[in-house]
Amino acid sequence: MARKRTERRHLLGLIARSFYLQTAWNYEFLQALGFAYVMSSVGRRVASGGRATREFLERHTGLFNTNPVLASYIIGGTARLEERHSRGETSGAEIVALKSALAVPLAAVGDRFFWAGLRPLSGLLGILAAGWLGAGGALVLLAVYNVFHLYYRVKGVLRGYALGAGLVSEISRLRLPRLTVHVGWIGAFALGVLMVTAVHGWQAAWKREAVFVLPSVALAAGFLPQFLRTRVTEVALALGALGLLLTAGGLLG
Amino acid sequence: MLREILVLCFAAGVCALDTTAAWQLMLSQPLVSGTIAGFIVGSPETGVFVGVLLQLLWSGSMPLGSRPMPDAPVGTATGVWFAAALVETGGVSLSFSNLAGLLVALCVALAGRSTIVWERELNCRLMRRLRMRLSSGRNVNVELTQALSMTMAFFRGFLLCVLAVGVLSVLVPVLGGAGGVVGRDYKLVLLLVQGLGIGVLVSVFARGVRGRLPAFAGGVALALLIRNLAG
Repeated sequence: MARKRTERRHLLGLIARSFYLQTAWNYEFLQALGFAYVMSSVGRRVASGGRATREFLERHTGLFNTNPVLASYIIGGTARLEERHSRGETSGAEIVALKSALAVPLAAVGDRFFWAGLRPLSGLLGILAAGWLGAGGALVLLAVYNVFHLYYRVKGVLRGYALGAGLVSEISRLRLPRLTVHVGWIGAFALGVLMVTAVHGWQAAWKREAVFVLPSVALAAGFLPQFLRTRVTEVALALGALGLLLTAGGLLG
Repeated sequence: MLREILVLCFAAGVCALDTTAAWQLMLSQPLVSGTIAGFIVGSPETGVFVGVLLQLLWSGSMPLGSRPMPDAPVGTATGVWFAAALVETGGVSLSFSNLAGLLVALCVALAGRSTIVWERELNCRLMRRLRMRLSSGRNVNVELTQALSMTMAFFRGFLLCVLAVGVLSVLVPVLGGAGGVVGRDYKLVLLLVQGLGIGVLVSVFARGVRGRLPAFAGGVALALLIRNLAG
């Protein structure tokens, strides 16, 4: 009973630390320091100082990068393998191999779902909600994103710890690719609602021409070449400068 | 006033932490940081308005790999403060103050992007030092290095906000005093920016995926139906 409680406390500690995986993100070692920080609570238990601690830190300060949410699977799995390593049941090389074997597939799945799907979707739903609820839109954004975010953070550490090296086969059973497709559908649906709402808003507040102007600009912008789409801040700034030119016109005239 | 600005900059620092360094609960999203900033400066409507526009524009920005993104939370907080300060002067139209807030947010966010690159380079130095100590057999303190990095990330956002607010506070009375001259209609520019922002979402959700067209059409139909029913 006491052992179970201690284990639960350690896992909670790992989950809490996993939120700081990217704190020291840098161009050379990527998430390495963050990973070492997350694992250092495990290190205190399994590495008894001196050479063992140094080897432990060397294993976890090497280049590492994956999706920060799904990294929780690797964190849980690595913690389990480190415990086995301290009992002499597995080698250090196996731990490093698990980390590098899972980092790329988890990054591919996680980035598509969390960054390219869920993040824009939660923003879109937040914007729609802001039309009705005002400041409540921010709460909708936070709720939609964090239901999935927190679920996978917690589940990842727990499943990873339960499965250890068996985690590799678990990854292929993740439901996230299917969820990504659903997120795309919901996003397209919500986009349709937003388009009508925005046009109606402008029409009511300003001019009927908004019916044509807004969708035309949106479609043109939506199909801009890649190099311009990645510079949307600069394009918006140029539009803003146009507004300033109008001011200059007002000052001169 | 000074207390309000300090709270705003503190919130900007916390939201900046959320971008990459910690949590990633999406406090750094413009809609959220704009709303928080709006409440702090006593004008939630301005916060939501500027937040929505920036949220639309930055919906497609993804924090993938080494690509530095515009510093959305600090930019948004500063933009909301600037728009609210202009409204308070009573000398400009609402659409002008919103446009000015938006412009300020974009400029500060772009300036913040370079500071993110510096922060990452400093992190790199910290990490190299740690590994050097480790390979020479000396003791290393991972927790302390992590704490240093975290402090750096917070103060980058906090100080950037302090600096931006300090510089821009000179502009507030100048623009506010321009009165009727800048009181013209800027709705067209805001409409174009909103169109551009929705375009970003089109590129995220509709581009290249014909199968999603029925879902998009369904959304349009439902919204039109609700509009008609609502009269």
